[in-house]
Amino acid sequence: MIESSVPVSLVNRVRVDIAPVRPLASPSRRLLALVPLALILFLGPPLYHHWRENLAQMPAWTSWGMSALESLGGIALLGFALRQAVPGMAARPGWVMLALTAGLLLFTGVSLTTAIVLPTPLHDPDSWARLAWECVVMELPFAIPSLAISAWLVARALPTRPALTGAAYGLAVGLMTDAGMRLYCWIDQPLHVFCGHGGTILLGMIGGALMAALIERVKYRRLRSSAVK
Amino acid sequence: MYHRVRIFSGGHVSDLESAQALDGFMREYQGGSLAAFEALYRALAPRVNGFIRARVRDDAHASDLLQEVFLELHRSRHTYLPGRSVIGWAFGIAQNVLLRHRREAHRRDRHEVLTDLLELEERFAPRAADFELQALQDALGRLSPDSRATWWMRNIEGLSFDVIARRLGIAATAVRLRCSRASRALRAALENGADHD
Repeated sequence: MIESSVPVSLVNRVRVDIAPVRPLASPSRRLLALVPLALILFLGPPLYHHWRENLAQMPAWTSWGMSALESLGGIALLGFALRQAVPGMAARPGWVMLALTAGLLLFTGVSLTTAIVLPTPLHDPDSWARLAWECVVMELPFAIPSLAISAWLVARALPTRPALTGAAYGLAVGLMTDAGMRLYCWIDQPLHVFCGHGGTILLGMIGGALMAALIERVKYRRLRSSAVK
Repeated sequence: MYHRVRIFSGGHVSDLESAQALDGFMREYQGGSLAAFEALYRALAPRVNGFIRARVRDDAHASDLLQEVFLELHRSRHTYLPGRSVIGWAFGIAQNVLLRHRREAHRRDRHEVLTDLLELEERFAPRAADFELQALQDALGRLSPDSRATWWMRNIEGLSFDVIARRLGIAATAVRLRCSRASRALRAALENGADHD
């Protein structure tokens, strides 16, 4: 049976912290604030390193078009993750899995299309692992801060399934970073792309999932300890 | 059906069931009104309680969870987007709290089962030796830790299937199955041992 009045302990707990709060902006508005980040990830790698050697030989729809498509996919996934973090707006886990699958398929499709349109074999086939690792290392300085910003935005809300939400924003950041990296990295060989670029995306997903789960656990412990006090 | 709140800030409130009224209370609550929180509690608590009780049978636990949901609701009041459904938002928070509890209980049970198994291992060695039945000791040693623990709790400690099930965090039918299989394995092992002798 529920009491019609609020339990005194709860009222006392609320009273000490009843300060006005500013409501969170809607997921779409917060996503808009992240568009500059997407632009930095899109143009950052080629501007910081240099434009890919064979950019002129590629049809524009393959270079700019595919990169833009991948970036937009990442932005959409990030919007989905931000929405997922707001109580009452979260989709079922099945939909999240579907979104993650769609993101991975987008990366696969973009990579294979580019590889078919302009196959670029490695000069030295034995060096594929080194080159793949180089791409991972070059992408991480762009991916890690973006992952941290996304994690902060999601953590401001309350994701019901933090690991899945984290995997979603990790994948989103991975896709957006890869979109820019494709404009720098001239190697389209699938082995390189899936190991190097795909590896970074996978790292982003795992990192995002771990980060979100950890943050929520810390938040929960704080809540429990404050409830005990 | 949840009851209606008629008094709010000294005046009359027409109908808390209306989404607009709840939205209004949420806005005031976000603005720092304790009275708005109390009105929201009266309106939402029965529904949230129903949501919890549909998933949690234990009364005391459900009551604790209700308090925790409202604490979390208070802490996360900034996540309510004005104009959206307050009930959907509150249920989202309730689900969040329930899932966290389930995860924590799962982690705790796993830890307790491991601890129980370790304790059993410690207790098992000397007590089995007391039987002076080397064959039984050997046969028990060949069972998996889970089966050994289950068999031990049932046949040596004399616990009921339900108690074992709660302790191990598995279904009572699974406990019965484990015990039966363990007993069969022990019988077979002892018979084989006797044949060899």
